Amino acid sequence: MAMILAAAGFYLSALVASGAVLFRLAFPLLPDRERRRVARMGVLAAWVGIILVLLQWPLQAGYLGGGNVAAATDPVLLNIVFESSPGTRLILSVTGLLLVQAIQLNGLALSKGLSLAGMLLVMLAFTQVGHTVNAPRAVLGGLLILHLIAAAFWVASLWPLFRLVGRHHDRAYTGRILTRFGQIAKGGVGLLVLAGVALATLITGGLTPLLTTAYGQLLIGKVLIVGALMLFAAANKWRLVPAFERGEATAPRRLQHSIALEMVLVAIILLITAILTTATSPNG
Amino acid sequence: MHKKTTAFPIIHATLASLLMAVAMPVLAHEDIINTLPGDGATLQNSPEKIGVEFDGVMRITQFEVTGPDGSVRLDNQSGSELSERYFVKPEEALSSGDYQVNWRGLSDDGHMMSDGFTFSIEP
Repeated sequence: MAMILAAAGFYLSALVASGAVLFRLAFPLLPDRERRRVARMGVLAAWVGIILVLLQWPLQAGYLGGGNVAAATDPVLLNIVFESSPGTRLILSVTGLLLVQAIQLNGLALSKGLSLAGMLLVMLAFTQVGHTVNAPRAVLGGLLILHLIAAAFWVASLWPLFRLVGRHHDRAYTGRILTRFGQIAKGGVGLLVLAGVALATLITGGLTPLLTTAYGQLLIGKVLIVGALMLFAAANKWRLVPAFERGEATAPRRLQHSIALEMVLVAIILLITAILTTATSPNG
Repeated sequence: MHKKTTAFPIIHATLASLLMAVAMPVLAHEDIINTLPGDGATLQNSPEKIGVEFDGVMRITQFEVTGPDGSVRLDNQSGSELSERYFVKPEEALSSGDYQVNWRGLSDDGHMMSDGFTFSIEP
């Protein structure tokens, strides 16, 4: 259980920290105060990510040794984890999450370069463990990185957008931010679709494993839950948007609720992802 | 204008999560191609070797056999190097009863795995 929570927390914080870098690049004209808040969110997420990925190390050793405290501190098991791909992932993600924090250095070209390099290292860390290490590794890893970049941007945008909508900025200003987010998200979704479909096709080799393995069935269940939420979101659109257009007093609050729902959705998805990726038994 | 923009975060977010879900790994990792004794097998005598064989390399970090007399002492338990097979010998002949084998390991792609199988020895 601790392992699953640590994994889910790591996914979330790594995505938020990396996504904060992208968010700042995408919205260079954010007011100073909002920009600093995004940077703070990124830095906080980076530190949480570092702590969680370091915590995963003894947790993994403990699991491998039979799930006890003695195994978690066993130097041999700790060494096995460190020398295998989880160790590479650890080094890459800690380095990346430290570099991401350059996001705080305001306006410097160096800050952009360092934080972007950090983001790429974090993304690279994700390709170290799992099916993307299989051939064709460069293709799978590249697709996963593109996929994660789009996902990180989206995940990290939720909180800043939530705040923007909730604050009493003028509607035209919030509208401009949302328009820009919409434009970028359109491209982002395209990237997610292409990378996601290509990855799924290359990794699963088709629909059969989805239907025949317990793992696949769980995935389908998850997709169905998300599909139901999508219907909800579509219904929301028809209720929310006209209200927003009319400038109804409750509209921002309702939009906030929608974004909050997305955050809950992210949490559920990451938790299920962690359950699926933390410990597996062979043969599905 | 607002009509489109306010709906984007929600719809895109849901689409994104849908795709995140689809793109997650589905195939199992290293598959077990054989266990010794076979899973659920009933044997006449104590087995010479107990183990498991994979279709890829695996680093076994824990391998336990428990039976009617508790944990079975195992001979020649190898280290945790990457290998396609992992076999051990019971130190003493096993008495009759039901046995459970449990193992944990790290697959080559970095996933932690665990599984087990059972066998019985007839009285």
